[in-house]
Amino acid sequence: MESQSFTLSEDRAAAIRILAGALRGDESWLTSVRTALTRDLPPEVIPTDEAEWTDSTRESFERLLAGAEDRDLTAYFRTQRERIAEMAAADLSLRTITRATSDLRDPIVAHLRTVIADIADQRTAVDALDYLLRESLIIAGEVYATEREDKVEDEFRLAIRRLSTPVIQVWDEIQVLPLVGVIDSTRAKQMTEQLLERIVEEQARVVIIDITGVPTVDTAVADHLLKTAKAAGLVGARAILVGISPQVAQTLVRLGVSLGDVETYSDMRSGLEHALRQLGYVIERRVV
Amino acid sequence: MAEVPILELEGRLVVSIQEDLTDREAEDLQHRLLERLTRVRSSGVVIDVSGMDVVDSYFCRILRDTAAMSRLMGAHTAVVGMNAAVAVTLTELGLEMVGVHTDLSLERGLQWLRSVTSDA
Repeated sequence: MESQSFTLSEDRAAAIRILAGALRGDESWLTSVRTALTRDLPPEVIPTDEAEWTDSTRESFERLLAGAEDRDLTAYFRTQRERIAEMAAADLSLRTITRATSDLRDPIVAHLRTVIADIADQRTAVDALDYLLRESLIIAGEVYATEREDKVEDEFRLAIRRLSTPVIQVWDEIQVLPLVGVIDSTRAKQMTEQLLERIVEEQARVVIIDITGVPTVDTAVADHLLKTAKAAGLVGARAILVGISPQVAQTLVRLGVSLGDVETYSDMRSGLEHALRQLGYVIERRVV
Repeated sequence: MAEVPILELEGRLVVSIQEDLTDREAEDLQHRLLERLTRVRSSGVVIDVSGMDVVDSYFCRILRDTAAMSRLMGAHTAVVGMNAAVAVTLTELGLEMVGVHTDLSLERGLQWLRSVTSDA
């Protein structure tokens, strides 16, 4: 989309030259266009200084004229796209922008009718204007679609990241990190950071890492887990690994992976019980 | 032969191997033992090998691995009742039971398990 180019046919280039010529000769139309824009757009996106606004409009106008000479409007539309992107970034709705763009037509057409005597030239100029406005609207649509996609994607990614490494406080000084899905080095790093943050924040003494939801545990994953456990140890919390299935146990032993002195359990219940005992709790069931 | 029974006794798993096992049977035992651990949440396993006259390097490895795997799943393992001839052969072959607690009898094995799991 960035490399989109706008080359013009000779006819269209000529039409735009007529349009530009008519607009350049007499600048009284600028005022009516500004009036139309102030009606549609919030004040913060229109330069309050009228001279500044006139200059910037004139500038884009020059670009249009230069483009018509070269029969190539790529540069002109690129600038248009940038301006629309700015407005999109300023949280203007697509509706506002398309409304403002469409509302430019009437004052300009009125102006063209007064300054161009020849009826055929008038029609050519209006056609050229319509072409420009139409392209601007398409660009606005594209800009908004892309922006929305980006936004949705960012939010999605963030949501997944949050989802993928929640840290749960299950008891005083006991945090649980349930892992679900594939552990790669990016995730491992991120979960370690998050876990350490929580340990420090909540003054945890035991962290239980639950790998029930991790489909395969190979040397690399074991290495990540071991590092996480060591890091937790460095900030003063003991890591317990739970959720080791027979398959995982077999894989680890066959691969010759050592989990060092990290305590491991097959299920969360045993891990939690052990953690509680370590903290001096006595688990007792009253006869009911 | 019929598959080796895995018994539950006071929260421990007790496996008593009464005759020599083929490699296949040994692997099967390992598999069943680990599966059982997920269900009964036992903190200890005792494997009684008093009935075995021949222990080869493969079975030795199976025992070692099983102990390590059980440990990962939160259970300690004791291998008990190894007969003298087997012990001598293993030593002569240079096969060490690294990381496996070995003990004289089932009784002593259970005692050892109590001692390592009571402080937990």
